[in-house]
Amino acid sequence: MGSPQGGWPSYNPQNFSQLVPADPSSQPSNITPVTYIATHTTDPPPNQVITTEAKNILLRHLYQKSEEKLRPKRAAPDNLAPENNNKLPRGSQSNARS
Amino acid sequence: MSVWNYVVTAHKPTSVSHSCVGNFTSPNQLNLIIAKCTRIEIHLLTPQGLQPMLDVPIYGRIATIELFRPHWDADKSELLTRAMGDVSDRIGRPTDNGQIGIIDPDCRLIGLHLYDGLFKVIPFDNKGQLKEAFNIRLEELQVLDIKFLHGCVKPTIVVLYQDNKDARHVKTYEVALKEKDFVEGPWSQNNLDNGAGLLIPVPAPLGGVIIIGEETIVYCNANATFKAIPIKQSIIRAYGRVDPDGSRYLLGDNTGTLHLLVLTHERERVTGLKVEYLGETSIASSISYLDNGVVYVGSRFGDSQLVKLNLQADASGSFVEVLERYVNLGPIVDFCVVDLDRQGQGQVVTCSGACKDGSIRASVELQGIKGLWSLKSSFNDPYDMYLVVSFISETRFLAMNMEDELEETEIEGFDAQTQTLFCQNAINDLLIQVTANSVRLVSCTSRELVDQWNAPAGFSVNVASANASQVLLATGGGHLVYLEIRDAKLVEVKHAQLEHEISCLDLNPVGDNPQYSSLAAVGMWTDISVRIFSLPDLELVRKETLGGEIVPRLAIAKEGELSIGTIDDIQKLHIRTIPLNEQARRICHQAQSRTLAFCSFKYNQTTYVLPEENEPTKGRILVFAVEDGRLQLIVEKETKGAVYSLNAFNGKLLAAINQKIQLYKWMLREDGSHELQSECGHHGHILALYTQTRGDFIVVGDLMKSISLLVYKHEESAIEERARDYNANWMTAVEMLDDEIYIGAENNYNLFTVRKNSDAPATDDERARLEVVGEYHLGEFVNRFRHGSLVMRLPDSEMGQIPTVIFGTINGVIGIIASLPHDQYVFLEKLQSTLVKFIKGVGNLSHEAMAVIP
Repeated sequence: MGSPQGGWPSYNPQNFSQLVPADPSSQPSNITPVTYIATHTTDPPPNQVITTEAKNILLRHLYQKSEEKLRPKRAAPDNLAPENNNKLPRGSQSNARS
Repeated sequence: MSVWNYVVTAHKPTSVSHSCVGNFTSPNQLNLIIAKCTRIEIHLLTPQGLQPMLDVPIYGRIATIELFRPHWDADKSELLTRAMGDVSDRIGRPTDNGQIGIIDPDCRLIGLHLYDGLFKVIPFDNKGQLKEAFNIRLEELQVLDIKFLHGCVKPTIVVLYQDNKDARHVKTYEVALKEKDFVEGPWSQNNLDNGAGLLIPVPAPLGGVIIIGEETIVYCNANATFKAIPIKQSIIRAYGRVDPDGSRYLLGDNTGTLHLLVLTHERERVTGLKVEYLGETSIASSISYLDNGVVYVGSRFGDSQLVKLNLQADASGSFVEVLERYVNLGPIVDFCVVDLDRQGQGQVVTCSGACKDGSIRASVELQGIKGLWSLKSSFNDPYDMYLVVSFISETRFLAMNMEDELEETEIEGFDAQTQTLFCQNAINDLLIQVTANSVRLVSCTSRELVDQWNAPAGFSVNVASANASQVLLATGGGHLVYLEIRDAKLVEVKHAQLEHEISCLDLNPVGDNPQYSSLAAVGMWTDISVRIFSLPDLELVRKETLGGEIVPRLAIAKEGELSIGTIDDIQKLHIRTIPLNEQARRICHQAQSRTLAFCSFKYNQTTYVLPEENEPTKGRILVFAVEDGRLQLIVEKETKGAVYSLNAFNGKLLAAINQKIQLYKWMLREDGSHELQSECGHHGHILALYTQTRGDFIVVGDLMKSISLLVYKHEESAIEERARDYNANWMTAVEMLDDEIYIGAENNYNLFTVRKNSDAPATDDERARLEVVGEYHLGEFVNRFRHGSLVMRLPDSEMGQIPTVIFGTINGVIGIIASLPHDQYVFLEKLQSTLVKFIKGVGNLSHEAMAVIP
């Protein structure tokens, strides 16, 4: 390798500038930070308890499909717009591999 | 006899699984965040190097960790829970290749792959709040990796998967949030390297993805750009992005080799790929570029490291310079407990690490150092002479000898049979020692007791402080006692009773007189206040409530100011490392010859696995003698399977060989040589992996069939099954706590205890069943249990009566299981439930949920 093409990124030139490398023959360091003890509340905000939608995904798919059929016909449905030519909803064409 | 067991960690996990870099604690602070299975460490980048900030325990095992920058402000120095929830599904087959958790680069959603055939989406709304999660069916059932692409108008994932003919391909999908479905993505790529295992998404404007295989590295993107280069065969599992634009990446493989991957590009188009050798590190599980060419290499198999990437190679062609190594005991493959100094304190000697990062490590617990003081031999001496080291039930004294070495000595006037609370040089060439029931004045010259003050009956001193002429003591009940040294005597001058318990004291003189203070600082529990009292009358001068959650533990007074702080934990386990560069597999200790024997291997094993077999059908037992510090092979015995475990048993050798437990006699032939002669055996296991023996009983841990108890019948020369646990447990370790209670660890990170039903009614069914009497979700994969103690056991101490078992895990945890008498267990359980009310789980994870078996 000639040189690492323009050196290494630097966010703060001070970082590690005063680091003294450890002696290679010395024992590895065993220092860990202070243990964090959460005595404050760790509850999330009340509307941020995440759950998964209860509806089974097959049922959801079937309902969506039947809703689409019942919807009055529109002039230019999304999935046939010219700029989206490359994108097809799954299941509308066989998934032939290239 | 006890079924009441208390589990505690003596050494926290050290294996590093993930790391990331970002501004987490503040916009102007760059942090390195390290995940160690059940803990998160937060470090700060500084000119002097990595500064440890916080070590956060997590009530769970960390599967993924990602930093992201959402669209709202961050503040506060508390770890606040923004959102949490249970994302498990009731139906679903957990993925074989681990859990994947990813975040869209534009923070529109979080994607999870936890179950085969399902991709779970948690969308963000435009205020940065998470919404309800939903699943999308994913056709690809054998997924190796999923990542979000950068710079896409709609959130797009790229999926690396294997089809049912074992060929590997890559496919993209757009996530349509409103429809809750996938839309076929902009591109796909088939028939990749058979070992393709890792996807690296490249930031905009280059975009696209790098696919890392075992023999090729490929780049492709939506603009039909396709670049590929061959690489030397290797398995790369860790990468770290160097440049924000994705020009360069660090790659770490399974042999510890570090490479630099360069994407050459021109005007936002990738024109080629290059791979360059950098050097060797520990086998990386995570790589994080920090700053100025300094990189953090996190390892599961060896010590994690801080390395510098130099611009010039060294003599051996390496650009890598190791700046710092961080101890990792994991995986602990085996260990033994050795009491080298015969003091009732064990050293744990482990076979640690994997592959070329293998090592032997000896850990000694410096437990019980409660205090450390230096004393001068006379008041005006410029240098210290003595070191006073206080333990929980004794004090030891060290002094500098003529050769400038510290050696143990005695200070006759001091009480050495108890813990010292405080020690100090005093005026008139005296020494002060404060213990729980007395204050002693000792002469520097004669080292003999000159005067003594005793605490009143029923009161013991909890905290104490002193200066050259004054002593301040606090006992239970908020009592404060003030003594002065006058004419080589201790005079009780004043006593006060405060309304709360006292947590700390300080008497350092701040005024003009360095030997007498007119003020004392006292920290209180309950109202969390610091009070200043005047001396000698102990009148309250000022009270300051600290507020919040600060607990005063250390108060330092200087001219005009008072500092209150906490002291970091002194690392209690002292570890010595002996690198092997090989995988150490088993270790044991022979007391008579004071030998530690271990076996390690590179690619050499004493099991022969023939290609068509599912299990090994041949193995060997080798018997060595220790003579003159050397190993002599005495007997070699072929076996009909892999030997998984060996035990000394009633003067004979018990071996676990595949499905069978086999007992061998040690026979002396006529010609003077020895041989192992098969005596009897027992079938009835899937694979007998772990055995422990006690008297005539053998406990077997099976691959799938939990724990069973066998008994050796001398008269019949036979081994019979006595009882078994009928649950399906995939065992990882077993041990006998005593004659009746046995403990096992299984592969869902649980511990459980079973009991032999000796006194059950005579129905065979009852007696033939080992009853499960305890369960505990440890959250760690235990490889080995051993009886022993880490702590110095003093014969008359209470602790000498509590039997303990030590365990070692894959993450480098050393833990202890103590069998307690019932009343002590009840007390500790009450303490635990009270603590849980005050100490919250970070992320609102529940402590109880951890303790319940899934």
